[in-house]
Amino acid sequence: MEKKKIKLTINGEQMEGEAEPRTLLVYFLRDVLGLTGTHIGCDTGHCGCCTIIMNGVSVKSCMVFAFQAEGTTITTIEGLAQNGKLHPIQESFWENHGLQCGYCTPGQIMSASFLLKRNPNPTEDEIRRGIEGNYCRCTGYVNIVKSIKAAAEKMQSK
Amino acid sequence: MRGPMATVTEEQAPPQKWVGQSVKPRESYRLIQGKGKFLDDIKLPNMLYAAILRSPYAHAKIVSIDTSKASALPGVISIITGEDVEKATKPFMGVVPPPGDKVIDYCLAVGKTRYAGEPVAAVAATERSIAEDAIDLIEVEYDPLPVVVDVEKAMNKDSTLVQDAVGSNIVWHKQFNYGDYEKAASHADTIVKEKLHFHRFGAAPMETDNVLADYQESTGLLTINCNNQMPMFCLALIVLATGWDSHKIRIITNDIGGGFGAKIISYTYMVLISLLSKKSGRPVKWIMERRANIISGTHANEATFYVDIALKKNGTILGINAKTIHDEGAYLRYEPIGALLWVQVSSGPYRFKNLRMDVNSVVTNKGPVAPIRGYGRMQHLWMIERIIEIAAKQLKIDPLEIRMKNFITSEEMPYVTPSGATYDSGDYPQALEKALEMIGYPEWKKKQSEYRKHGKLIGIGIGTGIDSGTNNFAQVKLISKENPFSGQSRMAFARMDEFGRFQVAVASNPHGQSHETVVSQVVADELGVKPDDVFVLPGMDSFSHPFTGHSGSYASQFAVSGIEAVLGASRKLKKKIIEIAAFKLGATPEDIILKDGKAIVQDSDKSLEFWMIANMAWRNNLELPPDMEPGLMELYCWKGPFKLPDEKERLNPTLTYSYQTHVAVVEIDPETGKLQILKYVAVDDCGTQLNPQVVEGQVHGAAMNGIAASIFEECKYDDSGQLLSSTFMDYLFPTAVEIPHFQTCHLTSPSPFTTLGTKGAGEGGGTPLITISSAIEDALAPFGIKITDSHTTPERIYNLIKKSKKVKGN
Amino acid sequence: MNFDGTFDVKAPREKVWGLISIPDNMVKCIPDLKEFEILGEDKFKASIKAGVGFIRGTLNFTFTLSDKTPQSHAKLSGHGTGTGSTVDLETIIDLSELPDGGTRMIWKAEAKIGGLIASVGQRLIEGVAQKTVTKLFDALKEELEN
Repeated sequence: MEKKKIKLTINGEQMEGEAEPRTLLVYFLRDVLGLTGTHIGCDTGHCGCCTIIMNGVSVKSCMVFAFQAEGTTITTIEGLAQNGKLHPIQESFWENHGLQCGYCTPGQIMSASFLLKRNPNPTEDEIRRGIEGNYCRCTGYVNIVKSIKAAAEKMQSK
Repeated sequence: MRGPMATVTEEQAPPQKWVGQSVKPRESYRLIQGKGKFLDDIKLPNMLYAAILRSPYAHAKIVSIDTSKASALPGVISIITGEDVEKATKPFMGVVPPPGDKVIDYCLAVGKTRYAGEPVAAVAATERSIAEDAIDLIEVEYDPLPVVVDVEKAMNKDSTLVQDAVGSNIVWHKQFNYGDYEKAASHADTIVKEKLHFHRFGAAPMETDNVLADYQESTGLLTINCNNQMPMFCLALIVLATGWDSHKIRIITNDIGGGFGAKIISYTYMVLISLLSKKSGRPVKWIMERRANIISGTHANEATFYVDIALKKNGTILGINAKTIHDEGAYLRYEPIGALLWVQVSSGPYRFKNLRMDVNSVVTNKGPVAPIRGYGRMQHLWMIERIIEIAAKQLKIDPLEIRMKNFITSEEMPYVTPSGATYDSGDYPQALEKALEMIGYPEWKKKQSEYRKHGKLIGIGIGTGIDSGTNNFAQVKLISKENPFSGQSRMAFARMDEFGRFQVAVASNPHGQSHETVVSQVVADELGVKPDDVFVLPGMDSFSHPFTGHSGSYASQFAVSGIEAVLGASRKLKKKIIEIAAFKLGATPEDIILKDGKAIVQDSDKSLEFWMIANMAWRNNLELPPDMEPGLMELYCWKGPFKLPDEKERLNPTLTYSYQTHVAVVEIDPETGKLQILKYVAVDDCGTQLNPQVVEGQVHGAAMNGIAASIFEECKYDDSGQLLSSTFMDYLFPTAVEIPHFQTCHLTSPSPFTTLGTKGAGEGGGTPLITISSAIEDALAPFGIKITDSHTTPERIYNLIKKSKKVKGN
Repeated sequence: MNFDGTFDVKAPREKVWGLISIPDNMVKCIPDLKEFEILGEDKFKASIKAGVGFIRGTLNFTFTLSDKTPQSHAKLSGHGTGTGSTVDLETIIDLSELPDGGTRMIWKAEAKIGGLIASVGQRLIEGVAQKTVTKLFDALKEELEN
């Protein structure tokens, strides 16, 4: 298949690369642009390890073709920390042991960032619904929920 | 708390400043930024991508494979089929005696395919998509054979054979007679019989098996980058099958996205992808897709039990007699170890002395079984708890009472069970009482009887699971005396560099257990420094991390074997540091302590900073004590204090015995069978905790695994051997919505057999499966339903209720 | 999977037999047919557009007619591969005369499905199979009654 050029903004930077029409966005981010923080955990769009923010909305990047991202503005896990300082959600996951193997973590954190943007003070139920599309096999979700709650409090007090 | 098998020196453990603290895992810093190094993040120059063609038939002769169209596709560099594999390798070694040793297991199907999804051919191409296009172009002609999916039918003499050369589908059969069950049965007031089934489910870690193999002909070096949990153990299996130069193989693991025992059988892929690299002359990377993982990478032991329990009418258990049938799938890999491992927890947490086990290991046309979390023990423990509860109801004895009556008490520890498994310490009654208190048992019992009057079904379930850890490989000699495995060991080095900073390495292939952090805590306490002064080499590289043939992360043991190795190396290092300091400061070694990065002569103002000591050892050795070897790097290999089996086939197969007690309150909707967990309590005891937050994380994870296996996950096969739940659409992986909050509590019964009193933990003993079965049976008590299958989905519950209503004529 | 059915058509037996026993005639009634090749008196290849849920592609079949008793009985076996799947079909067909001069066809089919379609599409297969069977018989009816 012939490759076409795709231009988009990722983590505040203009980026471009080439991909076939059938190439999924997650492979474009990882293999072509070298942004390997976004992970692949399944082949049916269930696990959420590939979650990114695209044009302000959380999106499973395995469910989007690379060419569909042309001209969009994307934030990946690599773009959360600013000026060498961790994002409050990242800090909170670290403090509250919200990760073990770390494979689902970028997706969890991106979903959390989207949840807290829409709902800065979620209940436990709302948090669990907010990360329903993010599978985790290690933590049992307890500390992930705890991390997001703590992050919400931290971000609200700022 | 010290044990008889302490390490090199005899001194007391230093004050624990860091051990026991919930130090933030340093591993998390890179992982929260997406800067972990998982295998698919690695790119090598000239690298190719591999794709694997898998069999659509569960059982078929391979008549021909035509790869010409695939080879012609631009970008395809090399293709391997079973024919190539048969020429280049021998079948993988197993642990089973004749005739089971005739099981054929190659990294690709040779001659015939034995399960749907078995690898049949592999392609290496310049891009992932080209490799995947290429496998669609490979034409395979199959001659379908009858399919064997019912494990009991598979045992019949006239059944189609899955592994022809064995001559039977029963690849291993052995009877174990511990104590005297016949005698016990003759003294019993009641014998309760039941058929039980522990279902097939998988581990499905978020990252699947991946291999990046790089064979360089110019040096003869084969570098295998992978995410296997115990690759240095697997090295033996690889070299025996391939005959490759073992001393020229380098194995590397970096960050691993979960394992749970599934990532132990990927050695077949390590060979396959290495073959592709050798053929292509380039590095080859292979990423297993999720569907392939669920089909072929991750099943836990499925077992059928025909069990009798002999009891007195007051509920005292006299003995258990069980015929077990293990459905191993088409290939054995580590099996029948899973069919044997009940020896580690032979009587569960109970006091009975008579155990007869008739163990059958049977092959079928299903995916292979792996040593999944709880391996072999959770099946046995579930069986024991189920039959006890069923018996209790028959005898009209309260389930709490029967447990308390038969629990081994802490005063009886160390307790030798019928198989010789010696429980080091633990207080099962205390743990159960704590769990019942936390759940509010009396209040729920009251609510339950009130709700029942209105047709609402509430159940309270109890389960105690023993997480036996730190295994003695001599247990496999119970399968075959010829098996060249015994004991346990781990190797580590501890090094003080010339600036007084420390490096430690142990080959543990961590995958979420925070080993780097925990090791730094232990070493910091030993050497009187901060954890940040101790750099623990991440991942594993066989060229830099010391290893033995036992190394890896499996069988709940890092807190023992890994830590003992690290302690041993640190103490050797400490001894040398102190000797140098004593010499320099004109004191005796006994007067010196290490504190805050210095060697201090007690009750004096004399001290030496570490860098000064290091300078002498590394660059300035004429100042060292005469006859002292320069350098400050110590290697230590810990040897597990184990024995071989005795003439009665008894042995202590595991050194430590963590345990968990769970209590759950569930509500079942009688109209739909839907289950809701209203409250869940997990009490755990793993002896001394090195890092409480890390331990608690493991408890949460194991609780979720067990609950999900009970009510969602199943590897379901149809009559033609097709796995119907091969993607997350059908293999129901739990989300944050389905899993409840867990209330936890930690008890501490230190192990008398380990230096710090730690016990291996993490697997969890399958406790949730026991607890949920118990809760559901309790909820359905008004219908008189027995739970005899570990898989209790809403649909199954609904059908059980419907069936019982028919029986009752409702 | 097992299917069976009874199909009554307003055409004499010889005409029905003529349609189903000669590959050249029958193949054109196969639904979603992309291309075909007659290999012999009783053998033919057919490429069929396949779609089970999101699994879309081509299934390449080889069909063989056997067990022929003219005007009354035949067996049609098919083996197809494509989309990472395999389909093995065996159909038994029996014809009998109806009092009004028409023909009754009683058919029994056994389908074994393996690979991707079997494991991923299993909940959808029956629906797709029913649709295909309906389309096939509609095409046969169209061909025979007009």
